[in-house]
Amino acid sequence: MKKLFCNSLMSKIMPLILALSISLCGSLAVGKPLKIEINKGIIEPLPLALPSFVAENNLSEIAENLTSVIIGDLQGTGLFKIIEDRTLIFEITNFNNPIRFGDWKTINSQALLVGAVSSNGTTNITVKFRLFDVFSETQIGNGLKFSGPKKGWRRIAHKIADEVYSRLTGEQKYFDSRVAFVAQEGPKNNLKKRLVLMDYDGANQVFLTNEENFLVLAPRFSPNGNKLLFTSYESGSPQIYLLDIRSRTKIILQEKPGTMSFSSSFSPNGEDIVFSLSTGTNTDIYKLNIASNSRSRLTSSVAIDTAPSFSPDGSKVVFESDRSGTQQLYIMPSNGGNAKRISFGKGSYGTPFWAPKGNLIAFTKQSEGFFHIGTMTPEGLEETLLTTSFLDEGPTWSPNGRVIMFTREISGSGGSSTLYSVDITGRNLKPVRANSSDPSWSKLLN
Amino acid sequence: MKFFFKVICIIMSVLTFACTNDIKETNGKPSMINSLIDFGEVEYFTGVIGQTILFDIDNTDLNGSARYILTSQAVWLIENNKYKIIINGYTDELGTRGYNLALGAKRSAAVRDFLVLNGVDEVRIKTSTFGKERPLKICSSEKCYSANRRTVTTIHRN
Repeated sequence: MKKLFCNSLMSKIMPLILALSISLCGSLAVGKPLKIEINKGIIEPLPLALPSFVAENNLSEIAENLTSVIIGDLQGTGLFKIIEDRTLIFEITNFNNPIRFGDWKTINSQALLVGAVSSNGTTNITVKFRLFDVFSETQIGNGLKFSGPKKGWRRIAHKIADEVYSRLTGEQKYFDSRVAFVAQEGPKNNLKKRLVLMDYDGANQVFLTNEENFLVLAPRFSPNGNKLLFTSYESGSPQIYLLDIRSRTKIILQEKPGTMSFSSSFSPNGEDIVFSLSTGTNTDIYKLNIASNSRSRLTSSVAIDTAPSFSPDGSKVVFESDRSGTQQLYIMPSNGGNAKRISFGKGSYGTPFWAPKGNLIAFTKQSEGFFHIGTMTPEGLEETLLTTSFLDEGPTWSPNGRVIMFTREISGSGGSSTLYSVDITGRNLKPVRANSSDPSWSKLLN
Repeated sequence: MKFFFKVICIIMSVLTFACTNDIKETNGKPSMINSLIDFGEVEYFTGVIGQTILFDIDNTDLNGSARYILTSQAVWLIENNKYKIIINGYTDELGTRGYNLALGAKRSAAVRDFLVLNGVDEVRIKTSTFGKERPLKICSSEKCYSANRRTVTTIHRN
């Protein structure tokens, strides 16, 4: 049966699979991963029928909302063509009824997701689902159910969408995650900037800093997602703060008289941070152990060394430096020492961010009057530019390393900043939130 | 020493056309300028000498005009030693946020170092950076960018 499923589905979603460089079935060798150049990946989205989840006890509103969030997640990847209720001629009225595959074949849906919401009368809900391959008439993976408080229905929806995405693409999950960013208000020459937390899709926005704290920059999630590093002007000059998201308590890290600190990020175990410390004349990269408050200096060039980011195994740090005359990317051991330059293309490179899988480094590139978001390997190979605009900067990785979020600024006096996301293939470029900048994408929530 | 600085002050005052009875031709029309501002006033520093130093693209060098303004600032600060200053560094919007913070810091440090070299006590000076935050002008062309690549020296009492 598995082979049958593979054969029927493969013909339709081969381009999709090639694009994702993954193998849907172990028995079929996809071959060498295809390298997709910017703007060249044309992919036929996989038709997936997604009828409204069945409301088992008076939960029709939650069922509709759940379905709509799942559709949003899957449609948002650009990899699926969702066939929704309004275009369906059939409906699912009972989760346990046998699937009439013939019906779903007539509308050419390759896959079918069936789900139901129930409640035992408490404040909790249970949501179950099954995923099918329509043409091979088989179930893909086991049916699953999630239980949780009613008010947590969005997270349940993201978890189900994650399961579907992961089963159909072979990729790791990423919908059940959050993004911290800076919201901007006011005229361009006097923007009020506040720290905000939201679900990755823009829902559940919460302000983390108040209006008095008028200028904050560059939040970065801790590996467990409970804390945020950010730069604030609360003391008059830029300094790094550590915020506990739940309690909202924050502490200033390392205020040394006469210095400024910024561009901070966590080590993979969350115990250390790396950041830039500026005496004014010189800006170098330092490492700080949060528990012991002990600081060590990692670079000591006379140049501007900034934007450090750890490798996922914690052994190295990638950063930008203008020691060669222009901003370029360098990698050094995480205790400092010899830094090796990895960027050699035309133009300048900044804000490197190591991918969660370790295989790529995302960056901002400035060349010939344009800004780009791009990726290259840690060896500096396979440079791929994903975007081009007046001003794109500051990439952050989705938990599974498939999507990059960044800031795009429009030129001119009214030009505002918007969060955008783009697939690492360069496809599916789309705005995420207006009047915002400096995104940091969390890991998958627990 | 003090006498020496007073002499310099007087010379600078003449250079900046700020004597008490100065009359200057402006667009062919005579007008009184700064005749009521005393050298010891903060307004003299902000209005006559000037708070702003401009920089070239991705550069922290002080050009001739910058050195001239900063020499005048140093003279004023030495004479009016009850004041402290904060120097904020800024950049244009082209560039990444972290780099521009560092570049702004470097610009404010270049100004601080020049003032210290010219006799201003370092403990009176604080520097900071706003990078590309808080541009003075908000168009996206060189006309605005050149005005935004700056440091601004602000006077504080005590």
